[in-house]
Amino acid sequence: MKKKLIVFSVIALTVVCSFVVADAAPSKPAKTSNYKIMASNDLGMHCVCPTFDFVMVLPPFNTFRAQAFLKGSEEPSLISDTSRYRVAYSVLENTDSILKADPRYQNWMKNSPKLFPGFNPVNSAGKIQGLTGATLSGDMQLVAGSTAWWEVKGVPVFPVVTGTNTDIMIDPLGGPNRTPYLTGQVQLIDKTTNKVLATSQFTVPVANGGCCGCHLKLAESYGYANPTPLESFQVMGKLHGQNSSGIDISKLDVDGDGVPGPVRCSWCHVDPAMGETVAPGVPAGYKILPGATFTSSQVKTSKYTFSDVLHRFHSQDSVVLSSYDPNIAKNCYDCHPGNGVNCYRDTHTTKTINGHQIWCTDCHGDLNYRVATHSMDQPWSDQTLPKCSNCHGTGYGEGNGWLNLGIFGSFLNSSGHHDNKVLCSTCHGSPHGLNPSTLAKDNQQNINLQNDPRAIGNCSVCHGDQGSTWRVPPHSGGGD
Amino acid sequence: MKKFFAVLVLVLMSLSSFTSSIHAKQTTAEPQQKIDLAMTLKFIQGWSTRDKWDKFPESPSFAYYNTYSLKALNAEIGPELRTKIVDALKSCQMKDGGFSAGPGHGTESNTIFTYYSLATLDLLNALDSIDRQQAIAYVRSLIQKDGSIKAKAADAGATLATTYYGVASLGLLHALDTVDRKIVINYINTYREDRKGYCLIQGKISMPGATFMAVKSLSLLNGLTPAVRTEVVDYLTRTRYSGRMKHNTYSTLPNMQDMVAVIEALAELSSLNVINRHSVYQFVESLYVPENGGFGPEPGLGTTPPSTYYALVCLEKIGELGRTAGRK
Repeated sequence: MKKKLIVFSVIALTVVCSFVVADAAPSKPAKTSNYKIMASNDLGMHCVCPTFDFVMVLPPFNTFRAQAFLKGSEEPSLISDTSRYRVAYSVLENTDSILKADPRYQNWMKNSPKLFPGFNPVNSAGKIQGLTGATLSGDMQLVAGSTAWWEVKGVPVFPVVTGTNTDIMIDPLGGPNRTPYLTGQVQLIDKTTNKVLATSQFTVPVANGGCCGCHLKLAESYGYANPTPLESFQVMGKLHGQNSSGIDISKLDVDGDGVPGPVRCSWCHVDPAMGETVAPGVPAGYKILPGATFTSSQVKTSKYTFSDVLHRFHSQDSVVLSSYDPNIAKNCYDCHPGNGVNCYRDTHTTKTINGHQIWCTDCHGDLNYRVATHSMDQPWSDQTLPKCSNCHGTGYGEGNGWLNLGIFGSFLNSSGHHDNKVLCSTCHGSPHGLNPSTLAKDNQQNINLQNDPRAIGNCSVCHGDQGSTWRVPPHSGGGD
Repeated sequence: MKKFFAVLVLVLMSLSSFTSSIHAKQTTAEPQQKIDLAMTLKFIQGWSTRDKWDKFPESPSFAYYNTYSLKALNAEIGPELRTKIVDALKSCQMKDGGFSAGPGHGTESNTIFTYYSLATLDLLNALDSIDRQQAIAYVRSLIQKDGSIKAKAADAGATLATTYYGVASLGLLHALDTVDRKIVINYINTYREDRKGYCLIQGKISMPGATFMAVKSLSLLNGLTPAVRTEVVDYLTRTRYSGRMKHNTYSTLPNMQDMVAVIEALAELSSLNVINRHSVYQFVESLYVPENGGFGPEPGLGTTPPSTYYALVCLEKIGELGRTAGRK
């Protein structure tokens, strides 16, 4: 009896104690390995429309990059041998079954062939695919140039309802909150043995912006007490018809069903974010709905980029400024993902310059500045995007090992350290989510690697002969 | 044996209470007073020190929000800051007398930027530092035959909102006698929704922002009739921003800008008594961002200077600014 009691009491104490320990102890870094893999999303946030029935600003399109290293006794080696290795990716909250069952994603699947003629959102194997053919999981491709990295472009990720506390994104169309910061996973795999050599998780950000929320309010002011997306689109179309083009876009019936849309803005206004250098124009076969005051001869492509017309109109139009927001030139979250997401979340949000906090416009300039300097004539260009050196000075690798992507700023186009082999984003993370970020998920990869949320600065992560004290590593490209 | 049981029970109880207390701290912490106006002041003061690329004051409206907020928080506006703001706004005045979007940005005057420039200079008692007659001439040049006032010369037409900015600008310049008040009043009333408020678009539905702009304009022009006062107050009371509408559902989120519009309109109509001040306070408090002391414009959004200004106006109008400051 006594023995039983002692056994019982030991078990009881163990259970309670383990509960206490589990509750209070921080998670520990994963078991170390000589293979290292670091991944990031390219932009730190990708906007996606919540519905595609009438108009599409941006589609599901997310790009991941990864670099893998083999830690040596001294120098590490960058892994780029495709005959021996492969890098697999997946998104934990976005599987085929989850997205196929999501009514919002079903809406994309229904409308995407109309928005991108010839595109099928499901591939021949029945799997969801993005505009580039990328599936929700698969292998990344090696990109070799001045350095080498693994990449997958155009993964069609989408914010989802998980029912957990990560559902922080307020749905602009009034549905349940969704998770905008998804979990990407990359694995370095030995092709011969199929053994996983290294695994890492990183943030896959995707969110709706503020466009729908604001335009529903706009529709309210046009007399719709509880406006629907169609009514909102009709108001938008009418206003678009008042600009120099004269085209009421809500009078364009693309699929011949007698209902407006769906219209893709970048058909007429070129958008480098679509991978296009020329606006393709409205696909042939569209109908003009009754009541239109324009003819098909007026439906032309514009000489203005999408970024230019969108930003310039909203920051300069008298009705927008006087009736809705006189400060839209600085209120970035009016359009970019705020709605519980607040996508600018990185280390800069915790820093100050001369005592003031750093806002989007401190790096990008506000819209009045950008319009005045015509910077949106060249959107998504390193010529007009912020440079780290504006504040940090030179000597941090920016501009070294130029990747020549033809798009994006110098941070995403640069590599440094060790013969310019290391992408800036490999150590620092994604723009707008740079480490140490205020979003814990952004930091987890670096914590796992070096037990520190800052940019990778613990030399022993990759170098077998270096100490484990965090410091700023050499950034310039010499053989350091 | 009994002793053993007693010790075991005590150990288990104490450990259980320890774990419970951890959970209690995590899940049922006492609600705390959220708004810390010292932090808010720090945020506002910090914004006015921007001096690298995005130099303060970046635009007339940002100059206004900062100046108003500093004054509302009883903070000193030192001579250096005052000079910086006045000089920047003076540089915005264009040859036609109107004001542009910001120092060095754009060459086109606009009544919206003109209004914010004048309102800021008025707060700083510096209206004499600009060419007032030119400013009056600029706004007058935008008045249309129907009494409306355009936002800028290049616009095809005017709206209630652009007319409000013109009227308010002339009000600050003490030049409302230079316009035909009756015709302007008539134009504003074309935006009236019968027995409700005012619309942004003629013939549509009443909106808080439009109602504030109409009420303010009519008040400046001495055009508020008793019937309008009564019906508008009734309309404003029925909006969600009065704090009295509990059970309606809406397809859009509430926002600070509309809250201020309702409160300022009611204040203009001497009818702030109709609002539920506690509910208004709770709404404003819900948009407070403790990390930086500012306020967001709507649920889920981070701090901006305009929404922080709007929050301070709300707190001031409902008599909570001093009380909140004292609660810290």
